[in-house]
Amino acid sequence: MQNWLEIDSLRFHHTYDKYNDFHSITRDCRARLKVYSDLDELLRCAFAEDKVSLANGAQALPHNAKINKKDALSRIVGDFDVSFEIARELGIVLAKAVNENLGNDSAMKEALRLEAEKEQAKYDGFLRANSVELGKEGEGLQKVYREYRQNEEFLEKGKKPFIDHLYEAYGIRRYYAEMVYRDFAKAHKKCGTEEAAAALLELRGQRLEPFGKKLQETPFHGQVLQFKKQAKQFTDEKFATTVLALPTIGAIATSMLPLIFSILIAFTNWDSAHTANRFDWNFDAWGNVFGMGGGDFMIVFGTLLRWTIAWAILATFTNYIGGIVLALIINKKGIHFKGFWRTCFVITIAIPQFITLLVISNLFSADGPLNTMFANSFGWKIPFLSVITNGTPLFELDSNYTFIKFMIVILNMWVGVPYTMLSTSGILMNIPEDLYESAQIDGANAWTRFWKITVPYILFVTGPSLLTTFIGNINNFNVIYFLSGGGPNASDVPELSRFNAGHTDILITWLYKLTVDKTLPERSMGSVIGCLMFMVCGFFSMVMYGRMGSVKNEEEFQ
Amino acid sequence: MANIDKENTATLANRGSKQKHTSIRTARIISNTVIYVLLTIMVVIWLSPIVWILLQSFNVEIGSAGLTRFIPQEWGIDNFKDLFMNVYRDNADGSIRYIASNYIFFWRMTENGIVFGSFFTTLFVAIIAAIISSLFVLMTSYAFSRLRFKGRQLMMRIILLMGMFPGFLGLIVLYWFFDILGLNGDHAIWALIITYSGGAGMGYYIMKGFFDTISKQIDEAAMIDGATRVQIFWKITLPLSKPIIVYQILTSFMGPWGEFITARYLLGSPQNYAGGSITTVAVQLQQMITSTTDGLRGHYWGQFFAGAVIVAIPTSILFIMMQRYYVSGVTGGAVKG
Repeated sequence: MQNWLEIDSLRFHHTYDKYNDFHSITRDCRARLKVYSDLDELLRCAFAEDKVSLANGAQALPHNAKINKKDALSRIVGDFDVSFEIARELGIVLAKAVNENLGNDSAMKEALRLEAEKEQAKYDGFLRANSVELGKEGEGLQKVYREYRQNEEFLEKGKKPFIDHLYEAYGIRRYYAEMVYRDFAKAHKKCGTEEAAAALLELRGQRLEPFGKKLQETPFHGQVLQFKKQAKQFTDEKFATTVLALPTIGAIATSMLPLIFSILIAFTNWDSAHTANRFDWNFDAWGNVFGMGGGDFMIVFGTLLRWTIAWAILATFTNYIGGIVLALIINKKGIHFKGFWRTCFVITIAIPQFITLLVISNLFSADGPLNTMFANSFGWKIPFLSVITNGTPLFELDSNYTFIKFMIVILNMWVGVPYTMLSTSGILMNIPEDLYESAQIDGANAWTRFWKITVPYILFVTGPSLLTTFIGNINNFNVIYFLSGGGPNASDVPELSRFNAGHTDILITWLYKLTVDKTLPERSMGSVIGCLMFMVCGFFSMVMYGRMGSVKNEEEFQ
Repeated sequence: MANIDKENTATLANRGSKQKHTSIRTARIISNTVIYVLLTIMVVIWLSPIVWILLQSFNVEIGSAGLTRFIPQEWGIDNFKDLFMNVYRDNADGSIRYIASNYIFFWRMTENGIVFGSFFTTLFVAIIAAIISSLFVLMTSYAFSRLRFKGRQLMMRIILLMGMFPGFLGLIVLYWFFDILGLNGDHAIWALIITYSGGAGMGYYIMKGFFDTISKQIDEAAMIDGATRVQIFWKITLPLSKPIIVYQILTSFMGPWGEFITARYLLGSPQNYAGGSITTVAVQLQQMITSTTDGLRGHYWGQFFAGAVIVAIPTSILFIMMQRYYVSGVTGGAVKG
């Protein structure tokens, strides 16, 4: 028994040799791919672009210089810990890439990357072919040995039928099948007992198990980077991913998804007549919005849209210009107590908007202290924010309530100007002093310096925020809602009052009235209005975004 | 070059006669005086509503009686007392009675223990939301300003687009989300925090503008010295950005502190404030003077002004203390662009 087992092990070494070959090829491929996985490092090796020479200010050798082959290869061997044979092969590839793409860094990298891809493909193919074949064979062999009993009857029929059977039933090549036949025959002849079969099975099983298992473990996925190196990337090359992960998740969950859902609501008939669980998908809301009540809706929408846009433009520019002017005069050279002046205005930002707005609204109301004072001294009142019902108005309001709208814009400056002043002050102080100095040396006077340095700088930095302020003003709920509440009541215009809109309502406050303030909200119609508002905002910002210098020349100015 | 410089200085010296000097000085004095007068007028305009809030909070008159005057006739701290005790005063039948208020501002002791009012709810929400959203804004704006990565432009464009959609339409959907997640009723406070801070990263514009003005040469120098990007962020960008970070924390705190629509919608029905329903100061103070549900609209004016003063105190103190951070230049010791 000892004897045949020895022979048996010899034969199995044969199989193992094949396995080892396979592994040595795998190892080589991996080494090569590892080198390719870090192209920068590879190029650095080739061009001696290491940290020392970088720090010395020498950008090392120019790219079109010939590679010092010996140096480069020894660097590759040293830095990547690969065998010299592999380094030599890589050196050839590298030299080819360099020669073909002289001095062009990205092209060179691209060439190397392509090479790496080829290598990877080659390796994958090799792996696939071999692992399938070897794996199948290993499995087959194991199976044959396990099923010793079933194969006995074929064994008695002779060598050829047995080998044929193994080939057909287990997919084992004749070369191995012959070996198996001999093993089986020996076991059958010499021992012929259950124990022998069991011993045989156990031995084969033990030897073959790693054979199949290791093959399954071998497949190679992408770049070989250690975990540590991968983790380290997130503090350097992939730092953007690290810092943006959480904010992105937050924004998607709380802004993007709700946004998508609320756009979808526009395509349902979820309104005051349908509950949340009983609505259908259709275009009714869009149809209603455009055709309802003989086009009344469009009149309301158009009226409010005109006022909304006028309001947004006026509010944005009054605040912007007012704030910049205020910042400039406070920061003017020769003005004392800058801190004091600034603090006086900053306090107004510190107090929550809703308080100041509600209070201002009451200060200017028909029965507020201002109008009471006017009434007591002169006998008339001014319709600042509402129609005077209790007293004599100084003048009658026109049918568009222009004066009230004008007052809202003016009062909005109270809220917005300090804010712009504050942010502009910081920017003004950030303008590099040497810009002014060099301009002064070149003979520019104060006026030129202001127009050529200060203004472009402020515009550059605040440009994008100007756009968001404009959009913010289109959606500026607070000011309108707390100052006038959308009033005066539009009972004189049946279209407006039918859809709950007041004379100074902008689209967003109207939307609020339709969807939140009503006991039975018009949700789908609200969504349609939201979509329309989005289109309006999108139109304006596309026009402005395209023209904005700071977006185009973002890199230049820095 | 040296010659030309010399000539220039010589001509300048010749021209700078005494007469011209005085006329420039006179012009400057006049323009500065005009500016001082202008600033004084503006400060009076800007501060008068605030002074009025202060004066009214010390007005003893009941209900809306004192609203027609700038300066109260009687002074006292009754409004603050009322607010603290959760009562309002009524003199309908000639004598002053104290009636339990509909609103809890600080807290109310009940048999079940202490019930915190809108002030502490808002404080809690605002602090947590301010921390999270400042971090989000900081990370987003740093990435957009300093790092170049795939999809950067696309992300900025998407954010810009999303900013154009009226936000509170999304609130309707968020309300469902939170309802499904069980963040309603007493847990709505978390819904509020999530809503306030979740999308904060999209408001990166101002901070990015600030980062853009910090010279990139410092970064590059550090990178040559072998610093990774995370090291550059911690050791260079962050210390230089102290002013804008303080600014961001303050605005992030101010947002939830005075925010109205989200709180009004997510916290649901405003009917049950007396029972300790969660509410914020903005909603509560607004309800005090506009709610007509209990027919008591005029009764809460005193509490409104007292509440307004109390709400404004923390933010005002913070603002005045931190003000120097806004305006202090940062490019001082660094390489200039």
